[in-house]
Amino acid sequence: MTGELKTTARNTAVIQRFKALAALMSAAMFAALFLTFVAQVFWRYVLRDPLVWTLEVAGILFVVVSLFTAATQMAVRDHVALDLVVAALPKTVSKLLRSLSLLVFAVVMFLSVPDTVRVLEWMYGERTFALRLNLGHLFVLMIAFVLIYAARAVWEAWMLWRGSETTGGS
Amino acid sequence: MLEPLHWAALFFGFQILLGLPIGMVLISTVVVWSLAAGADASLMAERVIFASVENIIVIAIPLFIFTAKVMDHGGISKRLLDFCLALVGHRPGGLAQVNIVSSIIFSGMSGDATSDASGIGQVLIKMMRDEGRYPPAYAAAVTVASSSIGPIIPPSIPMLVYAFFAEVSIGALFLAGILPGLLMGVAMMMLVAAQARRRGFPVEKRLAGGAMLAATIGAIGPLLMPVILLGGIYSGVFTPTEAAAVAGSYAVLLSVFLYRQSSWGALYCALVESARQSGMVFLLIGGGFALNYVFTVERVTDTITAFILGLEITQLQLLFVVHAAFIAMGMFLTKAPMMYVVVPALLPGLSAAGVDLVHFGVIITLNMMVSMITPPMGLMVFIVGGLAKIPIGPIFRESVPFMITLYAVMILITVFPQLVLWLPELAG
Repeated sequence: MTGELKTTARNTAVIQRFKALAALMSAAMFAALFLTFVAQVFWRYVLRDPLVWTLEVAGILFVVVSLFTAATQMAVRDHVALDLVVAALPKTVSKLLRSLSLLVFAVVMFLSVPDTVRVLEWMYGERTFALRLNLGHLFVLMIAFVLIYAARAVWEAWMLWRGSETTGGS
Repeated sequence: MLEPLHWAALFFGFQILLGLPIGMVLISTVVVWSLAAGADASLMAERVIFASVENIIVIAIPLFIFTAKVMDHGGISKRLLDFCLALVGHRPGGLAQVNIVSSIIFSGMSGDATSDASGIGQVLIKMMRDEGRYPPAYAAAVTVASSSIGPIIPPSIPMLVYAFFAEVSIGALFLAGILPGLLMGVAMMMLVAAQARRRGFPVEKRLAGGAMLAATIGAIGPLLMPVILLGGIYSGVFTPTEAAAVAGSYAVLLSVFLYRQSSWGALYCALVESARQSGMVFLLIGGGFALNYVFTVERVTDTITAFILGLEITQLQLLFVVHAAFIAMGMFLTKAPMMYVVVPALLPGLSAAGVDLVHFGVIITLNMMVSMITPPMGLMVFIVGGLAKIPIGPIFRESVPFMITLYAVMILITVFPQLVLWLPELAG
């Protein structure tokens, strides 16, 4: 029993450290996105020498920070939802339907993966306009996001059914 | 035999009813349609990524989110509050008037209603409730109603999203929101004055000249924010995205360096919260964008356009039909599905019918904002009620006069488009 408790505590500590690291990475990427635009304004208006890469980098950072943060720190149910109907149902029925909804979502997302992987090959041939960055790298993140969210949905459906609902970052 | 669009519609309805988050519903609905139609789901993902990377309007959204978060964490609200108290605290319904004026000023700095309602709004609810000066539900209702000004007066995140889908000038849209936003504020202040006289609400002491001057000087920093932001955009100095970066830098400068009311830890929290909110918005924009691609391929937008053109009604009647539909939807939906699915689907039809899309952007944003205080699904009432721990039912009851007032403003700016279009036309 004591061993089990120790393992649980160790797992919780690992999860907490992972969450803190992920939050730090999100903050750093968001700061980079913000500073990219500050640099654009500074170079354009103060130094009178506009930078050509800022919009591109900011756009990529927006996609990356959004997908990364959503995948690592936001539970499916942290997003805006309209749960008036399920909330009005008896608790067991509500739990069953919400779990079913999450599982169906997970199945659909898993089914989209083969197509996505196929396009990845083509995306690796595409480069961005200013910095010639490989768009395939960006698309890999999209696939990772799809897989993580599908897995998250299965996990949350299971937790919901067991009676312990998850929130952000679990 | 069900067509791909039918499968998608069934899936969408099923998942929305079961409470799956709207961003997830949009994305997975597009995947279901792709699977049923034998289309490549990932091509949609690729379009979303390209649209986000290449569209500077979309990139302005996280920057405005960040600005609002910095101000929330940075003690700027307190200075604004002191200034508003000095300005209108002595008028009938003093603190309720302060609540509305602070929302108007805050709107010129922040792009969404939630920051206003959950930041400065909560401070005002507490002040209004203290010593039983105002009924708690009334305090919450004023906060909820006045926060609806946030997305009308620029900068505005919903208008940035609208500009992305409607492909209209964000500069024109921002200018178009100023007069309607001020009208909303003035109309609500008149309502509060009338209610204050009837219900005997207290007035605050008029500040002496010195104290008033001190409050004004204290608020000069935050008050300059809308001037820099809007002045920069309309003088042609900044693009809206650059203006968002300048606004964010200015907010950091004020709260961290000048007022020293925001620690580096608070700034870190603002960055993390901004990243999280960006994640949420990105999924909604991406899902909405992909679903609208499906609508185009399946000719749903063509059908809607043909239907609108076949109505044989005047433009004004058409706008009121749309208003009625949005009011009905707003009772049961949050603004996200309306903003990311319904509005983009309607735009080609409205444009073909000759509706000015800048005018429509403002009136429909106002409609959706009022839906956030409309029972039974008024999201903002749930947020404010939850934060201030005030029962929802009485807030909805107290919100009714505000709702009617805001709908009256909506009708006014719909009937008289010049109230919306005068400023953008003036700026050329």
